[in-house]
Amino acid sequence: MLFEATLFIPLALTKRRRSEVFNQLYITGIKSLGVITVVAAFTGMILALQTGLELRRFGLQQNIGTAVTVVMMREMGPFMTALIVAASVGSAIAAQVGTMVVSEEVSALEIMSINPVRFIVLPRLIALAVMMPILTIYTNILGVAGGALVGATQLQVSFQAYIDNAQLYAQNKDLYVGLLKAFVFGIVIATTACHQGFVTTEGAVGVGQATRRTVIISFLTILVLGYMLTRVFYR
Amino acid sequence: MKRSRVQQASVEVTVGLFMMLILIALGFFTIILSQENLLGTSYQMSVVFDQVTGLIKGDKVFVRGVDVGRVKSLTVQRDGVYADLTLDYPIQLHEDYKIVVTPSSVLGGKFVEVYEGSPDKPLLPEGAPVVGMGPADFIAELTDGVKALRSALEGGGVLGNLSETMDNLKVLTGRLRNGEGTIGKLLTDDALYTNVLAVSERLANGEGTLGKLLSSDDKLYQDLSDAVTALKETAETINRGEGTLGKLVKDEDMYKQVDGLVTDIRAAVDDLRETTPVVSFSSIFFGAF
Repeated sequence: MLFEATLFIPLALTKRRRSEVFNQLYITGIKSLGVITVVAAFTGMILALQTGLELRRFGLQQNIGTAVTVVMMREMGPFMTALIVAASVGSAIAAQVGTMVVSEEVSALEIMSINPVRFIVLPRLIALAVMMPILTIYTNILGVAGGALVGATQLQVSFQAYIDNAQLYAQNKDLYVGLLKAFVFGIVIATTACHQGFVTTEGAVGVGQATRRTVIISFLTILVLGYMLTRVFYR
Repeated sequence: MKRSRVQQASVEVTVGLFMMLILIALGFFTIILSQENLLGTSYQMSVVFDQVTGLIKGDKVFVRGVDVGRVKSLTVQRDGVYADLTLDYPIQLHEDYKIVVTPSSVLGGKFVEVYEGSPDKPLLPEGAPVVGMGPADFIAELTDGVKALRSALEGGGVLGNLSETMDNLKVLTGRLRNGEGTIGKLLTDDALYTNVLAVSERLANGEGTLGKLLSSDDKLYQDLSDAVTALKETAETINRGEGTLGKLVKDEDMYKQVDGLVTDIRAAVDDLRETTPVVSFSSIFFGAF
């Protein structure tokens, strides 16, 4: 399904299909911003607080800049974003596609010689693949800002010292490897959700099961792939 | 239909704006993390080190404790490691300059510390190679320090004395533990404690002389006080020359008379001693008849 969908990517950029892609980008990105904002800011704040309190015992709390920035960019940014998107957008896609299958809308598309993969999967795949790295950058910014806020208010680490320390060890590699992870996670979520939607049976009960399976499989795949990608880039 | 197009346009504009903002932030992040000074003028300096022990690209450069640049690149060549430094302002090195790779903390990390040299020394000629010093190896220095300390301890006999002292202490503590000697008994035998407790109880109860002295009943104290007062009065009487003792102490005539009396008594005794054998013999002799 993934391979078939990639073959249709040029078609998705035509004027007629572009609006559907934008709709999916809007649903995936803009509508998830509320949850992602809260989760990202508090992830950064918790990281800064936990790390800072331990480092303060040795008088090294100024190093939270590095700790928060590197951890957010390498791992927590893409990981947290992927979990939120899998739970909110992935489950919604599975439920929508599953409902279309059990109500035989997909069969109707096939009868009209409309390829369901091109019509249903492609816009969602593009939307998630594009929007996941974008949302991850947003998560990283908010996480780092949340860490800086905790550093300034509770650990007596000035904003300038926080940023200087973050610059010391964080590299562009960390940022871009994190974005690559997010891209891969986006594809995983879209593929899993669409696949679970397409294999839905048994009516409304089946739709619920497809939704649940989508979230579980996405979470597990994200965890395993996250480790494997880290292993590939940081030996 | 028109509203739908407006809504669609709104969705596309929102998504486009959001993505544009995030991409600008990505560009900003990339520039920040690349540590490139894109807006200001930067100056380059190449320093050759024998070895840099963990200095990496992006490490800071300090002049008199001020962050003035970064390590741009490190290249290993036959004659050493070439570190290209990007500086915010040009540095003028004098002949006694010093450039050192320094550990930033015990947890790791390095930076380049630049000492420009004394102003009274001539400037380094243009194009002269700039040579830096590698970082101090703290572990090696610590090991050397420990070795030196050990050698001093063993060579000076301090370690032997310390060992002997420890042995003595061991014996001493063993004896104390076994209750040997006075201190050992103090530590192990509670008879002394019991005795002290009994004595303190007796004192508290006002038993014995000390107890009576300490008790709230001050009869003994009063008696003692009276006795001391009487003694004081007697001493004062003697001191004034009153009474026989006083006269003996103070009156010269009395002293002379007593002295003469004693002399006479001694003479009488001497006479008696001399005449006694004659008297005795006469008594026996005439008694026989």
